[in-house]
Amino acid sequence: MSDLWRDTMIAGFRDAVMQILLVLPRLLALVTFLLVGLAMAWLVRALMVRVLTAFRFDRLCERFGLNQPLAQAGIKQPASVVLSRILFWTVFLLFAFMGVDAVNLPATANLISQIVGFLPNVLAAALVLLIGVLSANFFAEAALIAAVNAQLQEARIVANLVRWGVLLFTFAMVLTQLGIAKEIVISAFSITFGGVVFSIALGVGLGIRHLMREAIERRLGKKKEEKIDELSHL
Amino acid sequence: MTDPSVMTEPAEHLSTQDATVDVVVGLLTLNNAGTIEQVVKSIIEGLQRFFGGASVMIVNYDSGSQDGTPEIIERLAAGQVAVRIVPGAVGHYANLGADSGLSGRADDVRRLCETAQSLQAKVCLIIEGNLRSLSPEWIELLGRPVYHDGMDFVVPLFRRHRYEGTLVNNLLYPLMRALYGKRLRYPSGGGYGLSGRLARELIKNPFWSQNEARSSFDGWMTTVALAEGYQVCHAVLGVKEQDSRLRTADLAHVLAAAVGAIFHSMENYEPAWERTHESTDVPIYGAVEYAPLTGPVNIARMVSGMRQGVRDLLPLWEVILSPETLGQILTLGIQESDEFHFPENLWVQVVYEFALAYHDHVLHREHLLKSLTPLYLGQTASFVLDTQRGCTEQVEASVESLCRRFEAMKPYLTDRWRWRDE
Repeated sequence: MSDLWRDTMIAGFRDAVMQILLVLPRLLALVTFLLVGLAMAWLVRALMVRVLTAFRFDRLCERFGLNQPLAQAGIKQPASVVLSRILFWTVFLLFAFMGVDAVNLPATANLISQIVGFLPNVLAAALVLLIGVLSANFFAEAALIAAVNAQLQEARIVANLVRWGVLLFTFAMVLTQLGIAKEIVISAFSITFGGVVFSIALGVGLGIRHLMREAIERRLGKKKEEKIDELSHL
Repeated sequence: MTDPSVMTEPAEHLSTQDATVDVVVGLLTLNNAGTIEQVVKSIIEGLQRFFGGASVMIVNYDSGSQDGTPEIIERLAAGQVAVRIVPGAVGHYANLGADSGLSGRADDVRRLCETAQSLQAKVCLIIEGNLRSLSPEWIELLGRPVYHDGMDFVVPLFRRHRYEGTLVNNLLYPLMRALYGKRLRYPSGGGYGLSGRLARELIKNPFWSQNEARSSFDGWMTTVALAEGYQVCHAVLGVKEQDSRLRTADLAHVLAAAVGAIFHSMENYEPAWERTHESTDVPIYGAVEYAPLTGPVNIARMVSGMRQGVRDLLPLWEVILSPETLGQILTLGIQESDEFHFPENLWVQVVYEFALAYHDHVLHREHLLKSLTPLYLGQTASFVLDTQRGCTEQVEASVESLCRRFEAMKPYLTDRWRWRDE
């Protein structure tokens, strides 16, 4: 009886020590990955800030109208700082995932290979998002200036419609690229976009039909301009 | 039988066949059958009357007329003046703005300059084929200053009423005068006289491929002539009437093209305009005349355009203008239409700050230029309100006062330009 008890205790202790000896290096690997990741991320961020400053990235972003949407989204830092931070966390998370993979838990098996496999989709989606936001700003600005110069009182509404139209299209493309609820996104986009176009058509048709008639009459020369302006600019 | 004096040649063969020619007339056409007969007759008569002893040639650069314009030119010139037809010369409908001079004709003018260089021409005239008011005297007035008096660039002045060319009077002329120091009005198309020297200088310049130059070619030729120190003068040609069949570009487009060309040239000719501190008169051939104002000017619409700009374009102007300038503009938005006044100082400050913003690329450049339109409308409304009860001399005095303000405030531009470059 006492032998059996002693053998069971020794076997249990030995197994526990073996388990600890097996897990300890993995935990050590996790901690090492986290520390190296932190150091690498910090290094990459510092390098990135230097490179972006050298290329006057913030000025370029200002020129292409990227600062405005960042400010609207509540981000007050310059674009170079934002990009460096994104890169910092990307590098750190990559190392963190490597560490988690090294622990070899059943729940996180193949985590890194899955993440690496999905990375091209994320990069493509980020690129689509960047181009979409830049395009939305550019076209909204162009529409606003054109509408103001045409003395259209609803200039800001026109500009916002253009901005949100492009952004809506962009978000739909980003979600499709990421494979998130593809069918629902496509259906929702089609319904929303169709609805917006139909609403505008209805609004224009009913609301300003007399203006449209006058414009067409003027175009066809049936109605003369009320006020002839003698001033010529050039 | 084909007349030996009339040849239809591709442009590249043109210049190798003739020895030398004293006067080359470049005739730019596109579907101008309605006006071309009068134009060609006037050119031939002008050449015969005023350049009798000189060897002359008409070179037609046609942008693909479908109405037989080149054939009419051939028929009319046969046996009288040597003519070369350059069929299918570069240029197309989309680029041709009827009211913006040589816009879209940059390639035709380049070929003309190359031809003038190869023929060692002393005088090179550029004439647009859609003119209805061209007379033989135009040929003399555009050519004589170059042929006899050693001028390099002759810019026409036309008989216009006081509010024709408000963009020229309120922006283009004062700015160019302050920059390059010559009291030369901004050109408005129709025709030009160039010396062979200037034609060679133009060929050397790299701007033929630059969009900013191509969209306002008249302005670019003028800038080159002024910045490179060529002799410039005006010729008073009387009334200008043109067939305007092509679409008329809107104000924002015209303003962006003309102002953009000047702002762009400021980067190319920085040393030239930075060392210029005062302006001098240029010779004027003929007596300047003014036409009477025949109709109303819609001031309320211009003020409303300015107010809408203040309301809607403020976020853009915040990027372009200094807080001090913007603060003063905000106060303009609350003035009554009939008491509206845009102070001279403020207008000059606005133009110079737009030039600096263009230089710094703070916005997409076309957006930046087009967003100047409401401010220009405000300045024009103020200009009309200030001068409408006075005589033509008062209008001229007002333009002169604005020009002097541009000159006096030039350090405001140069100091900031240098500071930003450092």
